[in-house]
Parts: sequence; structure tokens; C-alpha cells
Amino acid sequence: MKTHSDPIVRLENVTRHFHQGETIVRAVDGVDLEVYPGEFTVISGPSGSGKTTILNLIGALDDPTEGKIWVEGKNLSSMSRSERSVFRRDRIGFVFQAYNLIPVLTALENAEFILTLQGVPSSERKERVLSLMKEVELEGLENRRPDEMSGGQQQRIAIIRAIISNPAIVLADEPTANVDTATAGKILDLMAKLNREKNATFLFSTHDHNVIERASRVIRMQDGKIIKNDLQSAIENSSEDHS
Amino acid sequence: MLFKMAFRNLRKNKRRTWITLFSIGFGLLLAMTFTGIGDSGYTKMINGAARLGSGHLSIVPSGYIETPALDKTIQDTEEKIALLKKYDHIDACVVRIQGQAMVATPRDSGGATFVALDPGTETSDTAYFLEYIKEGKLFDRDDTFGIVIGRTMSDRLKVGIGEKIVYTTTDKHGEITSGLARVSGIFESGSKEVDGYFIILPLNRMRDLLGYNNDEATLLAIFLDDHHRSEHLKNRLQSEMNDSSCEVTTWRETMPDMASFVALDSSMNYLFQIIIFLLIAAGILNTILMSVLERTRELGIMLAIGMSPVRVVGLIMAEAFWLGILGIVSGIIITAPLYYYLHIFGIDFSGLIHEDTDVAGVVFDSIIYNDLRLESFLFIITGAFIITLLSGIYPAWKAGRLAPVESIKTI
Repeated sequence: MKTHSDPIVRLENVTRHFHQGETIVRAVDGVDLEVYPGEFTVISGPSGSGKTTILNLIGALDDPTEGKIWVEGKNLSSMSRSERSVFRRDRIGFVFQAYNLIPVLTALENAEFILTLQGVPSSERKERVLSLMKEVELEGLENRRPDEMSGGQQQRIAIIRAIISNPAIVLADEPTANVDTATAGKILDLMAKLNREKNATFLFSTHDHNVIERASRVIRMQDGKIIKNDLQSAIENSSEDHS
Repeated sequence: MLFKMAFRNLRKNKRRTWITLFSIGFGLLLAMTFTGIGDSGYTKMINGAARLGSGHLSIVPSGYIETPALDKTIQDTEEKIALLKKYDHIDACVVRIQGQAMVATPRDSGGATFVALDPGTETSDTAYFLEYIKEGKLFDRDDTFGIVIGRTMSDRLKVGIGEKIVYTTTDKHGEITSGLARVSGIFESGSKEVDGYFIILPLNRMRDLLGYNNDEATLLAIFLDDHHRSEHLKNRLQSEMNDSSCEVTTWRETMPDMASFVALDSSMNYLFQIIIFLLIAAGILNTILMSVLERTRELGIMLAIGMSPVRVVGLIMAEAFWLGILGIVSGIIITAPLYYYLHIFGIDFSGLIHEDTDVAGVVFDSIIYNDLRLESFLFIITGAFIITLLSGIYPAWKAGRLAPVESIKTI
């Protein structure tokens, strides 16, 4: 399928099977999917439907049993382990359910972690991070360790870490699962704002209705297959964003 | 960044880090204490043995070591001594004639090893016997009839101060020759071998008796500020002296019994150190591996968000680096008070060591000191540091091999 802009992510007949004893679990089963720049897409479905596996495959954390995945036109299967590492660092942003900040680093150091890995000079790192911390109302918490911050604060730092290097796509796996409703709302507002203002592409895995309600597209999965893909709205959204 | 994170990781788990640092520190305490005691003991024994006759280095006639004989001599001894004075690290250089003799009194007779020396140039730093003269004194330079003997020999020959002894030996030409002496001093070193068989005679008297000229002797005994320099200095002297009639030998060649004892005993020390280091390594490996296994999820996240496996390996190795550095510091801190005490006061083991226990004629000092050489200290701390780094390799490799997708599921 060709639209006015090329997809950032393309999955072609992707399957991912796991062996559990003699049983083969079809976590992802023949999935075709495209994600376009600026989308705010949700993959929803019951537990075990394959949502997280899809995110892991797109994030080059896992390999498909069959099929091909392209991100920004690059075939992930052809990448070596070290190339994948660089690819994840530079082109993918991750937001995990349990925040997963590095406990020994401060909020500032966690937020600038990817930039540090990329070798960005200290002054530039600090400037970029402090600007974003101000935007997400975390000003003054730079020197706090993760265990000195609330869940919502930690998740906002995790979001800064994910978007700080302007990745091609942010993969967010149940980002609101561990926070209360009010905090979840703030986090989603932040992500929506980043999507709107910075044209950041988000792909969520969730069954949180608050997230689904804000999505530009909802992909519904069941038993490893996509059973509903509201693609047209995504293309429309994408067109509007780029017009 | 890696070193900062590594340091904080160690600080995060304080109790485990302290236990590991203490185990490294305690291992270093054992290694530095036993090596220092060895260093001190060996140095005392080697210096004592050198003072028995041959020095740390000897200049002897070619072939003298294989078959010592009084017809093998070196010439121009004064010229050689003048040459030796320009070298650094040479504390003293003395002329000696050493050989075998028969000693006799009207009451008894027996074999002896004689050391003929110049009383004007010798001190207790160069002549072992002088330190132990209990009766009388060393003969003067003008006294050509003096002799100093050991207590055991004086008892056996039943002679005292001022009494006569006849000694018989072969001269330079193989002829039997005898001399008369009066006992001027009696030494008592504690070694039955030394006290029973060594006699000290005046150098000039022996030169006359043996038919040597005034610049001739069987050896030049050279004393160094540090016996560890003997091999290096031997090679230098040998090449610079350029005299095929004589050769330079180290104490290892002139005192093979002592060299064997030191080599065997220090091998045991090295073995002990290897065991200590292996124990340290096992402790560190356990600590770092536990730390990696506990942080599987954290490391998996780092790998997932783009930290390269090489950097993850580097992070764990940086933790090993800090453990090594801090372990060495804690080892020095733990060891310092004990080292100071043993270095200054020592421990008296006279109740455990028999008073005449000796090696190659040198009596063991019953007070044991710790005098760790700088080289030994550097060897130990470098060894501990390398062992710490080596112990980090497996956990680091394991961390670098983590599959992020599996690791981030770990609780």
C-alpha cells in the first residue's frame, strides 16, 4: 500500500512462534502492518494476544520466525547484533510499563542517557533535557534518584529518555499500567502533546481505554492476528498532520 | 559514565561491597605479611652468608667455584678494588684468602676452613664472625700471629685467649706449610658448623705463608646495598672487567645451599600467595556474578534502549576495576598497623625456633620482622588488581550476552 508518505514501520506476513515444551505458541501469526509518521497508534487486545511481541519485533529486540520487518526502510533481519543496538539507540524510543529507569542515575542522567550513549556533548545534553523537563513540569527534580520520585514523575522521565534523541518511533508498552488514573491522564496528555507538536510517532500496546480513546488508530489483536485495523483514519490523520 | 555508574552500583549495595573489600584486604594482609617476613628473613640470611666469606658478589680466579684451590689466585687486587669503587650500589669490597687447613694444639687437632682478612678494612658489615666475638678481639693489622676461632673449636682444641694453635695448609706451589698463631678472639655465632670449623687469620701473614705477592688473593668479596642487584651487577662487571683470568660470581653460585633454600622457601610462599589470590578471585567472582544476576532486568533495559553489549561488558569490568582499586586501598589500610608493628618490633619466636638452627652456617634470627620490598609490594597489589579484573571477565561476558527481550521480563 502506498500513501502520500512512506510508512515508518512495515511488517509483511510476520509470525513469531514460541516453543513451550511440545506446544507451539503462535504469539504473532501472519501479521501485515504499516505505521506512518506522526501516528498515535494503539495495539489493543487481551493478554497473550501478541501486542508486546509485536512491539518487541518492531523494536529489534526479537526476531520473527517468518516474515520481514522494515523500519525506515531498513530490513531488521539483515542487521547484526551491534547494528541493532545502534539502531535501537538512535531510531527507537522505548517506554516500559515499569518505568525502568536506571536506579543509580539521577533524573537528569536517566533522561540524557541515550544522548550520552550517542556521544552528545554534556552541555548540549543538559540543555535539551532541562528544556524537556521544564515542559513536563519536572523542573528542579534533576538530581533526584528514581526511588525519590513518584511513579508519574519516573514515567515522565522515561518518556523524555525515549524521545530526547528524536527517534523514528516511540514504542510504549502499557505506559499507564502502573500509575493512577490522574497520573495516567497527565502522561497521555504529554505524549499527545509531543505527538502533536513534535510530530513524534507513537505505537502503544495497551488495553487501557484512556489510551485507546486518544489514539488516531486502533489495531485490535487476538490470538496473534490483527482482527481490526482502522488504517484509513491513520492515513487521514497522517495527511492532516503533514498538510 | 561507565566508571561513575559502576562506582554507584557498588555504593548501592554497601554491605556486599564492604564484605568483598574486606576479603580482598584480608587476602592482601596475608600476602604482604608473609611475603614481607620472607623478604626480611631471606635478606638477613643472604647477607649473613655473604659475610661468612664470599660477599654478594665475588671476583675469583676462573674455575675457582668448580674446584677451589690455593694455587688459583687473582692478581692486582688493589687495582681491582679501585675500579670497583666507581660502581653504584657497592657498599664494600674486601680482599680475602679462603682455604682449608688443619689446626692443632697439644691436646687435639682437626680440620678447618680459614678466612684470611685484612683487619684494617673489615667490619662486622663484611665479616660475620666479628659480630659474634664474645671473648678477646680481632687481631690488629700489625699482629701477624693472631687467630680468631669459634667457641666449639676452642672447646674441642681446649684453647683459650693467648694460647697457641698451629695451622697447616698447602701453599701456592702445593707444598705443605705451617704457621703458629695465638688465639686473640673467640666467636660464638650459634651455628655449630661455623663455630666448629671456621678460623680467621691475618691476610698479610697468609700471603707470606702461601707464597702470594702483596697484591694477590683467592677472592675479592663485594658487598652490595641490596643483594637483589647481584645478577645485574655481575653481568656488568663481567663485561667491563674484560679479564679472562678471573670471573664474577654471585652468592647463588658461591652458596648453592643457601640459594636452594631461598628458592624452595620462596616457592612455598608463592604457592601460598596463589592460593590466597584464588580465594580472593572466588569471592570477587561471586560478588560480581551475583550483582549481574540481580540486575538482569536493569541490564536488559540498558541493552534494549541501545547500550551496546560492549559497553555493558565495560560497565561490569568497571565495577571490577573499582573493586580492585578500593580492595587494594582497604588492604593497605588493614595491613599498615600490623606491618608497622612487625617492621619495628617483630615477633619473638625464640620459644619455637631452636637456638642453633641454621642454613649454610647462618643462624636463624628468632625475632621475625616484616620488611616487604617495594618490588614485592608492587607485585602483590598488581597481582590482586589483575586477579580482580580477571574475576570480572566471566560476569561481564555473561552480562554482555543477555538477551534484552528475555531480560526485561525478569522481576
